[in-house]
Amino acid sequence: MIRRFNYTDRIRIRRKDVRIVLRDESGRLMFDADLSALKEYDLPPESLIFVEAYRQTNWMRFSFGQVGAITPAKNRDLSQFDSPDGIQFRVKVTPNSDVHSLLAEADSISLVRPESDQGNRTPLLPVKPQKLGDEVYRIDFSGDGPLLLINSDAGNYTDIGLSPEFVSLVYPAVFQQILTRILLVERHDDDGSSDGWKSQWVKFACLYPGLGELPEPSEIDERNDWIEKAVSAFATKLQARSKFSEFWKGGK
Amino acid sequence: MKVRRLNAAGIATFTEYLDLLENEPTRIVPKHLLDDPTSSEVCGAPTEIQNKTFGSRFAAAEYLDEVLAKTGTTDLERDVGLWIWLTLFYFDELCPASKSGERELRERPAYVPEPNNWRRYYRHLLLGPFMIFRAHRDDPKRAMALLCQPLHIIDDIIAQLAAYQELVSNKAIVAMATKLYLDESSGERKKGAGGKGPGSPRRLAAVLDQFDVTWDLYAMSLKEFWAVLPKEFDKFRPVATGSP
Repeated sequence: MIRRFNYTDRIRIRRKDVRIVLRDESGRLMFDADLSALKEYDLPPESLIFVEAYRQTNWMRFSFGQVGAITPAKNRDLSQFDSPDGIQFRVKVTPNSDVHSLLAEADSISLVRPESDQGNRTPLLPVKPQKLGDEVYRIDFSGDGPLLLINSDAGNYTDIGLSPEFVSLVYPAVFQQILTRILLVERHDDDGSSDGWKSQWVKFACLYPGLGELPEPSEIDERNDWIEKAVSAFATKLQARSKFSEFWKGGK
Repeated sequence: MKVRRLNAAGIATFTEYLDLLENEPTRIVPKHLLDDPTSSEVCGAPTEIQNKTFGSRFAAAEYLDEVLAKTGTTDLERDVGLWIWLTLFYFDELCPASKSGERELRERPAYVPEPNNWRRYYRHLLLGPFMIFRAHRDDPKRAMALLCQPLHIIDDIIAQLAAYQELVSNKAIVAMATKLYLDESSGERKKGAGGKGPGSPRRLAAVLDQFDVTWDLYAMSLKEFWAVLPKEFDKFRPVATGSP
């Protein structure tokens, strides 16, 4: 599965418009979902809403009534899940008919735990130790977002990841590799409405001044230039050169 | 023996063994970790487990589903110490030795599970079939295309479907894959089902991924899938399902 083409009129529901909160009732995992913002979308009021909870092979589906009359399923027991860790949700809106087309969807929504109103915030680039043979680091794109792997045989991965030599040499290269993957390999078309990991990286890059608007997916050369500018601004912010000089002190 | 789980020290010793096995393929399997109290602990309610040869992913998953339920342990699929203990317990089938006693290791997630990585969990040779079996517990034979192979083999049908949550947890899609790629009479994979061309599992995953943009796949029945499946799959689809 590489790229998907959305030629449909399916609406992307912004994840910030969906709030799913975990509830623990005497050891039973339940959830509440605030979907009231769906009324603001251009959706037929009679269209049906479904909330799906999933984690790997586990999957549960709950009916939430209609866009014009949201009625949460009475039983919102996450009985297939022994723990809330890693459960994600998607919200689907379909026509009120036998046609199973999708009118709107939001995916990869994390649970908000009652003790934390911040939601499940995860770092943009999680770091993990792993055996990598003779490679010092590698970027793993197999999951939902890039993961920086540091060779566990090379030393303490936390110390390595914070060392000036690693920071100055590796992080700009990693940043470039990730943006290249998103913008040139996968030709991600960022319309600003998604908060998936690719959009989060693009938003992160856009925080650096002077980049200008992200060129269209077909503008390969312009996107290349945009990535170069982003990496340069990132290196400046990191003070990569001075960090490298600090490490290189005494070198020839 | 009773079901146990490796503790941190046991896991470290086992992963070190895997490292050494790469260069020393006849190295003796550290089975002593299985009941060494410094390396492992009892997992849940004391439950007897037999060391047997399963022959297929289905047989292993069915047996483990029955046995592990008796331990009363929750969140089984995320219990890394348990799955590594089971890996060690059944290591001779998961990583069989050749006549000369040499073992050929697969990639590391085959033996050390990554339950938090939804694209890799299925690569564990015991956890993968166990989770697929459990997802289709109401009719596990529906998932036979993903469970018919010997334990140490992960073929393209498994790799293409199990890595995608939307596909592997969808009853109609898994039933369709079994009807497409499994010969019902022999119980074996159909000839050509392991390829990469038209009608292959790889193409099925790609086609379904594109359908997923437009359709609510969980709401679709098997009959509805047959009706929209492209002609390239005709060579695998059973006659009884009709033409699109």
